[in-house]
Amino acid sequence: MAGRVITVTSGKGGVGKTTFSANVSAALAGLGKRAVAVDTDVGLRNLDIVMGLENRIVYDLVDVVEGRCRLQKALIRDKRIATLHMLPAAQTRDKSAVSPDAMGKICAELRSQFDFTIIDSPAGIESGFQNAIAGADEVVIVTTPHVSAIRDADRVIGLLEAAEKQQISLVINRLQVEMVRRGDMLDIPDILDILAIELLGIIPEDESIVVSSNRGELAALQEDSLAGQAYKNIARRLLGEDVPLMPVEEEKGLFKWLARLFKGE
Amino acid sequence: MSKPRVKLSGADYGLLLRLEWDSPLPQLLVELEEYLQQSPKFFAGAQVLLEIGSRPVLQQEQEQLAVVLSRYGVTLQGVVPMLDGLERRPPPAAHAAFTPAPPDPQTLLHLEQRTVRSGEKVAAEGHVIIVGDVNPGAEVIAGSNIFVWGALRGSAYAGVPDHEEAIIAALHFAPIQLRIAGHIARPPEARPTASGTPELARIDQNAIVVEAWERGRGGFYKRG
Repeated sequence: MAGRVITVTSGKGGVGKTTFSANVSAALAGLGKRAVAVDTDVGLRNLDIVMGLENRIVYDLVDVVEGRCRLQKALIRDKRIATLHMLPAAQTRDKSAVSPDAMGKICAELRSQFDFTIIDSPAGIESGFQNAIAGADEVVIVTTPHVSAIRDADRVIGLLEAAEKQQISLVINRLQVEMVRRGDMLDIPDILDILAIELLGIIPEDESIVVSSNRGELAALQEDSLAGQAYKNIARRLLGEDVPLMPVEEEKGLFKWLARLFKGE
Repeated sequence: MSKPRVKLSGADYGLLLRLEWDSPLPQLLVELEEYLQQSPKFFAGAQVLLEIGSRPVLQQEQEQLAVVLSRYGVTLQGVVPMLDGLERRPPPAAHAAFTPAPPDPQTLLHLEQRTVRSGEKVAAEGHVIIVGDVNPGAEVIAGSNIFVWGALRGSAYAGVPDHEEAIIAALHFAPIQLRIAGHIARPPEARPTASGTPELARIDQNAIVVEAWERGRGGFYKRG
């Protein structure tokens, strides 16, 4: 079998790549798919914390690259869902410990074992970014509705196009519905107008994400989380389902309009 | 062995690499390598000019020759035409003699059909036409005019370095900064977005002016 390798990137830091990677991996696993989240932020690893698996790390990505252990040994199985795994980054090394070639090989191996390999990339466009995209079939750009985040996203899309990545889609994170309605925040058509790529999903601002990330709990595995629902919707869209944008918010009007936009009506 | 196909000889203006161009390139490369191997120390650090003449030489072939030469510390400096008979005295400047006259930038056209994104630069000597958007943080640079069949939201520098007649036109005109020849302009802070109609910028009385495109004024930017 051949699974899909999806790299999550943004250019700018702090827009929610890691939270997205963890939650979408969990949501995919929750839907019965074998999923692995890979942290490529060597030296600044976070994914393990967000997933609550920090204390289970024995081997990491760099150990695999440098041949100290087999890939299988470095994979950590999630404590909640049996089909969810994580491959942690090394914390005591830096980006030069991994190469695009080495990442390509690891991705090829993961592709044969998992339905979805979700690669969380570091911020920036340097070697860590190049490593993260090396083995990707698809790329998801995470941005927030801020001019600087969008500018960086645009830069990254340009680099991805130059690297001939065909499948690039966009996730707008931390959208403050109320602010958009007041006209105080960049709205979605403006963002799509500039970035001109396919919209995969919109995640509303949700304070509970801060709490769950800090505790290593995954919003996508909770029933009552607004952002968690958005992650689950994105997972279903990745599986090819036609899921309208956040039907829970439809009565507010904005999302009704968003849903129309997403369906291309 | 027949007549050597590779020869390096001194000329008034430097070392000349002469090849029998009728032979296939791989053979020439092998013989060049053998030739240089005979006295590698002698050639190290030398600069040579490649003589061409009996047939056109492809860029690719030149590059392959340069690679072989560089292995022996020899730099390929340029190309010169084959000179007839014993007349080995080149025109005053060997390089200049063989460089074709620079084409008129007004006749050169560079076309891109895509979104030019932040951090990307499109630069060309002549006119530049972008069919697509130029996003904030992107740069378009042209020796002559710039036309954007789409939204211009980045920076556009036309008429580089000093072509004052150059114009910048876009369907949706919202640049971060404009330059024409030596003049710089940025849109007024108060101006929120583009007018919605195609606009163009040109130099008028030593300043960049931006105005709406009007039908029937196609020739207006020609001075006179």
